[in-house]
Amino acid sequence: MASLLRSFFARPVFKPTCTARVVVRRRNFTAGNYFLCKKYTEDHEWVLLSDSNRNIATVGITKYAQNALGEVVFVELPQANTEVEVGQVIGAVESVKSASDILSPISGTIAEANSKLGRNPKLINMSAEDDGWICKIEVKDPVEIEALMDKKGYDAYVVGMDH
Amino acid sequence: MSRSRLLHLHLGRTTYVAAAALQRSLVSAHLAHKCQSTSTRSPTSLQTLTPSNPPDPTVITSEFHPPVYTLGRRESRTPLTPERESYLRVRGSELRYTPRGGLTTFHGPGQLTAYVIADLRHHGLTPRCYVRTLERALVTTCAQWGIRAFTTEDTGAWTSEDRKIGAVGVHMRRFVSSFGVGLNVSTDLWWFNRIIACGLEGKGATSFVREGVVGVGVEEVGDSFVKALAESLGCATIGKKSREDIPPDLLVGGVGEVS
Repeated sequence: MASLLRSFFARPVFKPTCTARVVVRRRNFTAGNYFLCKKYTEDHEWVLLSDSNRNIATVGITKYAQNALGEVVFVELPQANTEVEVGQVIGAVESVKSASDILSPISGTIAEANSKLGRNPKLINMSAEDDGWICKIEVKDPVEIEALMDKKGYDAYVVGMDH
Repeated sequence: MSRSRLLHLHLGRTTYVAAAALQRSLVSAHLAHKCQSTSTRSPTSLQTLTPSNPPDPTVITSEFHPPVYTLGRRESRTPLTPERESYLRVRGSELRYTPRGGLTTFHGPGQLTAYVIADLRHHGLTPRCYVRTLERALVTTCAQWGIRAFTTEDTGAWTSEDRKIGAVGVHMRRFVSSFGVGLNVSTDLWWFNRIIACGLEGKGATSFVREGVVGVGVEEVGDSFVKALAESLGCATIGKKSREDIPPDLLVGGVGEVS
């Protein structure tokens, strides 16, 4: 019975197009995980538990934040293997004549910084919530992520700021 | 959204270190308020200046002595070569690394340096709008003395296509601003000729004096700038305090200030 069910679910209901296949694959590694959605902080950072097996979260600044900053000319990235606490400065985004600190939304250890972003700071303006990620953090306590705002909560928060 | 009072702390002739220490206390007070943490209360001496909670938005006006070249955040990551360092330490000038945006610039006698510590969120300003607000306050200040300054796509206040009179460089943590502007009143422009100020090649600096306005003091220009800024921030009153009103312990601080 179990194997029958497995084969049923494994069988594609329709022949997926290329795009559909990409979407399916993307979602697979977080499927069934509680934290499959991005979470947001009041300081306009996003966090996504991108590799739940290793407790690795990807961190970046939101589309709203990049728009408020304007054209980004320089990004200061954190060093790998640095231990960080919530609220600690992990880098900075510099737009025209203004440097804004990036604070860590979670505690853990920096696993990797986005070196592509270091070479091309404009990635933040083009793709703040995807290719323009700042760093990956090995999370100490995933519950910290859970406590952050979800997309709906963050959107409402941002609307509140503009009025 | 905004509160009604702007605190103006006029330090006058001071070292960079003293102004930076005062700025640091004010930034900490603003951040502590945001965390709503009772464990990180502001020093009592600071509360005598700004007893309100949240703290008042504040402008520190100074004229740095000794003269100082300050480096921006990007440059603060990699130490200067010894040659460059000795080039910038000249005629008794200091050299300071800062976490602000922008590149190397100069501050010294005859220049108004104004640092603004405010929670921009209370004033409904994004970082980008805030830089524009500072530029506009610089332009308004120049206009008070009949100097026609304007803004261009290169940040700052300009009197011609290639002469800048006022520069902007700010730092932000959780929307709390620090650092601010430099406006040349009677600055010796020799200091600017030695550097590519703010990374703009082929462009130079100017001052009130070079624009034909002589006999104006840095303090009165500072008052005018603060007034223009208060209007933009929606502050109805300005509470001005002089150096003697500022508790001395707020002017002493660690030298290293990178982040």
